[in-house]
Amino acid sequence: MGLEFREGKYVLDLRGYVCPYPQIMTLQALRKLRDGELLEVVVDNPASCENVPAAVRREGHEVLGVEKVGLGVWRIKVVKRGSK
Amino acid sequence: MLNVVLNSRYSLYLYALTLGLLSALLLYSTYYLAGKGTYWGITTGESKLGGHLWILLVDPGIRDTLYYKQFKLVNPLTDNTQVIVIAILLGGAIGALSLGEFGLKHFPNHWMLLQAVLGGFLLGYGSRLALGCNIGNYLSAWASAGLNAITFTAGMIPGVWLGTLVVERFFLFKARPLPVSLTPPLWVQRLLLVLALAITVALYTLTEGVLARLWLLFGLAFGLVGYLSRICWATGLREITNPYYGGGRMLTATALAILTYAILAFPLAVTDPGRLSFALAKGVGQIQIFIGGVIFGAGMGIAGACIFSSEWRAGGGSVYSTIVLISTIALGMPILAYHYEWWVNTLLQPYPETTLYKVIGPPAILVVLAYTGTLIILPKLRGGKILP
Repeated sequence: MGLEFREGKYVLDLRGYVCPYPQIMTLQALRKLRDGELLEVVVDNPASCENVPAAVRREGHEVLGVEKVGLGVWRIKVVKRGSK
Repeated sequence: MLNVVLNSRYSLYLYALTLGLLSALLLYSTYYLAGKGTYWGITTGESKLGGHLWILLVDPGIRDTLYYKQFKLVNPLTDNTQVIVIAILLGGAIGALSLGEFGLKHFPNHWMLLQAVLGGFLLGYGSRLALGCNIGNYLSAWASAGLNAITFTAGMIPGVWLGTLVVERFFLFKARPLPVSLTPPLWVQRLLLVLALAITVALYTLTEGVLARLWLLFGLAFGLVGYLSRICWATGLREITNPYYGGGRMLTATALAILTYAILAFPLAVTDPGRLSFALAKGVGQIQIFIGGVIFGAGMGIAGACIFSSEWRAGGGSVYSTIVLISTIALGMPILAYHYEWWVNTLLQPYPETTLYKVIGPPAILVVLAYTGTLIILPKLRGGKILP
């Protein structure tokens, strides 16, 4: 896992991880961002498409969407909101 | 319309309602076809499959334990409890392959491997100590208004909290996936889908008896709905103890599944209880069910999944979930079988096989409504909203 800054957005590649790590690591990564910055989380655990958006919404962040970007791979776009 | 079902924010809840509906349909189908309505479960069959494996590879003497005298090691193809386990796996695989999402992935490093084996072992040991998992002793038990549902839930919640604590303290940042995955191209997935469907047809043909075939078909449906919905009881329960892991959606979904199942089963439960096989963890008392619930809950917290979701995830190609499942079936359950007699004889066994329908009659459904209602409004009580 590594948080990278690419082309004006942060990318967190969590392929290979299963629950609950994608939720924990996404929330930790968001703490490093500033308000309004975009984070793209890449996952290959189907349940994370449900659990990651739910966890970040609960913390007040904005989920722009979950899109399939490959066979069994999804990208979750999150905008950091607030100071958490 | 299809998009709303598959991709909307409410699809999880629609799938949960479907799971409850299918569960009730299985109850009514067994009632009308076999003469005795049966609330479904998974782990009885899993423990028998584990017993067969253990006899083959480790110790034929395990068949003489009290456990396997009670849960006889019959031919899997004639036994509804074993057929449904294989069917759920197949259903998960069919779901993943039909969406082009199948892939061998989540290969663990040694810490993640330890997490999978330990979590799976506790899932197997705890579920058979209590004679049921989050399906038999939770979903079906709540739909049966069983005292075991209350007891098992009371054990699972601190267990999940403890298991999650172990993950946070010991496994976080050590448990990592290996950078390996094998996702077949779409055309290979289509071929594998045809193969999975052919195996299903062959299995249906080889399965003997109306009941076993019925459970096979419903098992496929449960596995398919599990994969499509991504429903997971471990996540739902973790949202009670550690709300920052989710927004309460999985908790709400699991509550909706129980609610649908319980309401649809209610007419049968109050009019003809004598012809129902309620999910009551038959033969063991509430202390043993509670201890089993704590151990099982810790297993869910550590493995990060329940037994049902481990099955459909394994069907989708997750190597981690497959290891969890193997540890559950081939380690936790057979080892519990050796200890089962000791637990049964050592513990007091108060109030075995108690359904509130027999104690207080039809108002028992109000207890189920109160529990599921509490789960549904819990996110609201925590400052979120209902149906988050």
